[in-house]
Amino acid sequence: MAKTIVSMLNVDKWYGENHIVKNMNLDISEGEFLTLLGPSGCGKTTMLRMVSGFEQPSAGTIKVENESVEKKEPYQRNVNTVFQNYALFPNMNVYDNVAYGLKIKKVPKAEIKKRVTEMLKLVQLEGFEKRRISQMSGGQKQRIALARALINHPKVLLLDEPLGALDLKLRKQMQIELKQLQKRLGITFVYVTHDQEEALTMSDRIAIINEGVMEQIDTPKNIYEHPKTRFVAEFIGESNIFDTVVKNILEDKVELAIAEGHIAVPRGEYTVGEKVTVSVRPEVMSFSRERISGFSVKGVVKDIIYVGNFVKMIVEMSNGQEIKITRFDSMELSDLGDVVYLNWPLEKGVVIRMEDSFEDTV
Amino acid sequence: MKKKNSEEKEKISIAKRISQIALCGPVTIWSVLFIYVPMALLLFMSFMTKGPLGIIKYEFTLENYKAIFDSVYFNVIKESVLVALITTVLSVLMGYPFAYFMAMKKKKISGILMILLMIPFWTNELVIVYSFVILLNNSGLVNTFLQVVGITKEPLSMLYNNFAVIAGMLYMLLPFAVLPMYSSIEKLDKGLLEASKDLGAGPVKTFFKITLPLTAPGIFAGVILVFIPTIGYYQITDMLGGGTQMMIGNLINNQFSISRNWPFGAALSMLLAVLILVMLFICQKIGGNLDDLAA
Amino acid sequence: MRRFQKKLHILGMMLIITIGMLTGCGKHAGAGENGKEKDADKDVELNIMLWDQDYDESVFKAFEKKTGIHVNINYIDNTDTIISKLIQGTADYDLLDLESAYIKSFVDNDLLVELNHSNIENEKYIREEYYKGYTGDEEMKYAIPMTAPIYTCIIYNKETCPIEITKFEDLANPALKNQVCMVNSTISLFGMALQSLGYKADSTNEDEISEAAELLTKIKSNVKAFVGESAIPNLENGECSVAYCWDYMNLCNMSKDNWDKYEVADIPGGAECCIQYLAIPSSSKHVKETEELINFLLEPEQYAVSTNAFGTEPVLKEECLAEYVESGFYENPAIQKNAELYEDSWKIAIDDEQINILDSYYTKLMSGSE
Repeated sequence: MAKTIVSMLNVDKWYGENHIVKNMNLDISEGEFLTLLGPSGCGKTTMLRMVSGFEQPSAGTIKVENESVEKKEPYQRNVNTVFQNYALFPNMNVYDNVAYGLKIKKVPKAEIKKRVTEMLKLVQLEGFEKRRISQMSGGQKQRIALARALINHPKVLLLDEPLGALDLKLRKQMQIELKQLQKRLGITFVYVTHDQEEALTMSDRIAIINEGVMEQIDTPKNIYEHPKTRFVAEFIGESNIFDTVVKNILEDKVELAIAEGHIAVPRGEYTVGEKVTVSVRPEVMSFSRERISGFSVKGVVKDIIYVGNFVKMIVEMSNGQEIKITRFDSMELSDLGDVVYLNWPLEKGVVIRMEDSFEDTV
Repeated sequence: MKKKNSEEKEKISIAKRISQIALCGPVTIWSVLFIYVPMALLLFMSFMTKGPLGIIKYEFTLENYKAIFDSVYFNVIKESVLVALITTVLSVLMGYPFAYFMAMKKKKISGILMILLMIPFWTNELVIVYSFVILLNNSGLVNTFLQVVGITKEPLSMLYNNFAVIAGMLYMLLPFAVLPMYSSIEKLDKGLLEASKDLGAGPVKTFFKITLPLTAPGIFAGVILVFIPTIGYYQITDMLGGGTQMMIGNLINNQFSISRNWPFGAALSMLLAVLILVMLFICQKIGGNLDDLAA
Repeated sequence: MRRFQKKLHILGMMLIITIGMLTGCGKHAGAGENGKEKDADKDVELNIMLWDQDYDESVFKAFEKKTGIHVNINYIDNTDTIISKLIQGTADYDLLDLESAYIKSFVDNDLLVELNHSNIENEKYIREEYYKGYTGDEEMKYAIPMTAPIYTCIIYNKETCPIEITKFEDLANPALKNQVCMVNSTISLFGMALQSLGYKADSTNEDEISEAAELLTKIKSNVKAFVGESAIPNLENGECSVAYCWDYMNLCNMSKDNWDKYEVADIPGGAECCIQYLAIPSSSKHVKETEELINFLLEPEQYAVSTNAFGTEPVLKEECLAEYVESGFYENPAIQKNAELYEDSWKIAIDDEQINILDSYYTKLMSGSE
């Protein structure tokens, strides 16, 4: 395990009456690409700003390189930020923007020139040195902001929704570039976004934040395939969620009762009568015309939606819940109005046993 | 069909034109009648000859402009420019921190500060100047207070000197300096200051490298708004400075009243206009933005 | 082009602001210029021009009540502009309240109507010594005095003035550093300096004027403040112990304490004497009615109303006025002092040529440095 470079210990943040960050504990390893993912207002940007020094935690400690940064002003911390709206200096040209940090540190001119040139090459902006910021496009501005931060060789680079203002195509391209850059430079990236796809594409680890609480921190694969909480399951990708009660514990599986009928999960430690939530991704959901052993979920095909690279079929169950099924080809789907029975490979159903996960829903 | 289309277009454009005229017409008429026509008359008059008893003889002459460079008159102009510059520099130096402070406060607080700042505008200029006289004279409020409290035994001489003039000028003109500076500081993207700090610059470096250059247009607007009235002011130097130093305003006033030399007065007014133009030009060149005057 | 227009607009605004500031005092002038022509048999309206603080307005109400002639009052703030307007024929007034110094200018330019003295029989109440014309109208054909002279003289505070003042040059004494207050009027300053040096107050000799300018420059180093109007505040609040001004009568009117506190310096060269006259401009269409008004104003009972209101020294005989003015009015030492000053006083008439020469000297004096 690589050594920890940033850590938050029991960090709380209050804005007046609002508890923005609640008892946060987080370790970020050197060289990793960590994404703080959550809906807007969940406290992820505040966490970032506490690391960069623009906000002070109300309680708890933040350490960078094992040293508390409580007393350090933003300009004394060895972290740099790429801001959401780039925050490029409009009174300077591209070169001067990138050189800013080095000039402040009084690095010799020749070296500044060398490093700025290198950096602009790295972000593919050679030849734009003399341009004014207002002449640059959104993607170019993003690269300048990146270059301006990276030229200081920060231990940690903080990125606050840096791609938010770009259009989809450019965003996807920049996602890949960013990831490659991070790998090449080996700098720790802490990346804030509310776009789950972006997080899944780029991150080594994702921390899911909801209402100031960390719901889960893990690799994208684990987060996707084994969401620990109902929130994670619903927030990351699409999920079909079943609120169930343990009905029968059989030899090879456990039968769970749903509103009408029942589903099954592999054997595990369950007690009869226990409440369990099961999340099933639409792409692993199967259907058949006849009932299949272990499953008794019946529904009617209500809608078929063409999404482009896949097709989505909506099946309405008798209690009104809509189940989504996706396939790459509409040939693999049923017709509108058909009655179908749903099932899936047992191991693909993710059991979420957090006690509070469906208290309100059953 | 096409014809109908173009007819409709025409209708729209006529409606547009009418609304344009309605919106801009009054202002245009006003400015032509009360700005450009008087300016043109003044310009015309400045090339005429002085007749007896203040009558203008319609004979072309350049004498009025030559007279400006007479050392006697030139000296007055020089002094006026100097006083205006000193006032301008001081009001920017004093106004900027205040504008900055105001811009960094919450809207509610900055609103109250703004009202406090505007109070001088609500008061007649002469009333303000007389209040200064009443406050600062040898047996005035300030001196009485200082003597009663025992800070001084003899009254301090605060009236009829440069202190009184500068205090009065600043009181009158500080709002002119603060308003445009406030607006440009308020418009400044605070994210840029964070970015600068993030890149290792302390507050001082951030101020000189980011804040100051980016709020320069507001400063230039403040400079223009203070300089222009100051160069014409003379009530303050007369009443608070004791009138021992003639200003270009006195000079022009004298030409139109006592000396009855309207053409020379007109020439001096044109010179004032040119001085102001030069000031605007310089500010524009250095990087100020005249649009900020509107803010 | 747009940008240029915008610039022009902004510049224009600036200039208007500036010019507005320069001419900020223009108030009443011109209000009566549109006096409509009225037929003789219809109601007559008189447009008159007065200086503030000379006449109580109730007097004109009384006149209107008595005669049915309506009087429109306009206030003067600058005699020069009135001259220009009258010469160019852009103004018509029926009555002017004239500073004596301007009478010559008005007469020389045929701006006044000859008075019919038989219509102004109340002039018999005017004190003999003042019942005479001023420079330019020695025979009193055009203008009739309405106030006793006001003198521009040196007043000093007996308690605080460090030296005895016996001549105008004493104001340059270094002991008076920052103690002197002076009127800023060109004529009063240069006239006094010229008189004091033994020349004529209306001299147009450049050598003499230059000498006077030198004297004034010396005095200026002692001057704390030049004032356009009253010097009284500066004497009262202790800023200055000496003032060259026209405020002695007012100072004495303000409080009996001032009778002992202040003294008028007795200096060779005398004091400038300024009298307010009434005259009828040649543009007037109602000469007869205006003469009736003048006559009414000279009625002791009416005259006393203004005297009581403003405390200016009356031009009428004491025996005619005494019963109407406030008791004790004639005890004012300024009245006695004015009588003394009268003998030695000098009269000045605004002279275009002298004004022309003085402008540059005055500017140089007031701009301080070389």
